[in-house]
Amino acid sequence: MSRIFADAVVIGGGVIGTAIMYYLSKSGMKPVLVEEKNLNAGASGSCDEGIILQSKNSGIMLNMVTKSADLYKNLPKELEYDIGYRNVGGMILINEEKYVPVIKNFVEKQNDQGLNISMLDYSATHNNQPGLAKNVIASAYNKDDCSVYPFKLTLGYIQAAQKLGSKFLPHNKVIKISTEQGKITKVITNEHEIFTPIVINSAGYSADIIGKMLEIEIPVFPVKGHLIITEQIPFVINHQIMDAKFIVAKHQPQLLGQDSIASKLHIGLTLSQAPTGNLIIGGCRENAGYDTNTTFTTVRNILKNAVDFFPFFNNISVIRTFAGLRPTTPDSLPILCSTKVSGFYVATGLGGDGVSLSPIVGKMMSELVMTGTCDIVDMRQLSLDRFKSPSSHQ
Amino acid sequence: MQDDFIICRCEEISLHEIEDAINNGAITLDEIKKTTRGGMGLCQGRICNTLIIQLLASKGYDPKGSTPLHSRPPARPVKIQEYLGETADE
Repeated sequence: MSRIFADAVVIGGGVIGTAIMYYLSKSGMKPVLVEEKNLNAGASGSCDEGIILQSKNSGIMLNMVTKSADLYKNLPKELEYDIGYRNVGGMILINEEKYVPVIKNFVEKQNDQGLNISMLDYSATHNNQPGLAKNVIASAYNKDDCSVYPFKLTLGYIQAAQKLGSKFLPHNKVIKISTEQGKITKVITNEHEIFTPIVINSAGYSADIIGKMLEIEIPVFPVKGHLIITEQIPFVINHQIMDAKFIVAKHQPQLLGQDSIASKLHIGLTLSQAPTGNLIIGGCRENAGYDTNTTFTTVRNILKNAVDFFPFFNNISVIRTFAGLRPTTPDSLPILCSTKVSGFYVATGLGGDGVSLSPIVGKMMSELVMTGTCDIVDMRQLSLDRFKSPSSHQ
Repeated sequence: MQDDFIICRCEEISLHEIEDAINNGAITLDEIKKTTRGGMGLCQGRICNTLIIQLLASKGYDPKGSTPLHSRPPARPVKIQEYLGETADE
């Protein structure tokens, strides 16, 4: 077992851990990132590529994603790496009259907070995205939605951080975190003994296991999502696409009905076409523990919904299905904070928004670690303290 | 073997791209796939995985000892309309 000294140890090689590693390195620290497997082993390796602003709730999430999208614009240049960033624009498709007022209302709130979303009527919608079914009656379009290739994103962060003198240790599982008088002193992995005053726990849906090592309870749990990859086809999908059900589910779930299998699986279309030509079709939300197998019923329901919007998909072949686990919290807001153990920080619970939010989370956490506070975004409501029972709150 | 020899025909990934990935710490089929796209294409690694396993073994890694690729349906490309045919499950 070799001994290493590090300014900080970041745990977890997903988009969040690697972003934090990069922004810490940029601020002058030399962190070590430890990862049990290798890059993108969890949620960041089984997700789509959307940086969607218009799906976020107004308030702190929209505030964060707007700042994140700004950081992304310059990120390929800054990292000197092709992270597959594309400003493709995003569309929310509406195929039932009853969803129109919900989406209009949602768009209004978001435009109040600075977004620039337009409501498109029938012909504008069909001009903007050919191939749609006739029953798609309207859409909301945001030209600022974009996409990024997550496998290249983590590599970009890692290589830029390495150039600044930081270290990446794949295949290093954290076994123990030691403290002395309430302060972090070292992290022990299967290969190394790393002396450090700072640990950032960005282990995604496994962040609770790391928390337990210091008797800190982190209420994060996996929410399963299926994705379907098709063969490569000529370019037909021009944007990041979602259907109105995703937004309606957040605001007026009673409109969706509860009885069908599709509503139990929270089926709603997410769709994009990768630069390679493959379609990436989702999506759903299931509480299914840590199982990442795909099921025929879910795949079939996702495809059925996709074909409702794009009838020509019928003749395209599926080449792969996979499922990933999103690290989710009881109130669906991320956990980004310091803790009662001096030097121990938590950055998890990004749900399905890790890719959208990685640069801003990296920047916020690095500022929190370096200065003790964060001026970019008010992080107080993202603290672990919010989960304390009311009796212990006073 | 030449450097530009194609290992993954579906995604056109060359020998040197796979070797670069291995040298940069990708030491399982899954890690190599995520780094290079080798095995991510139409045949889902049915052709190239054998070659990549040989490459890993020749460099002293035991690809069978580490996590194998997670196999999930479909076993070969299936048209979306085939998924939507009548079934008894609903």
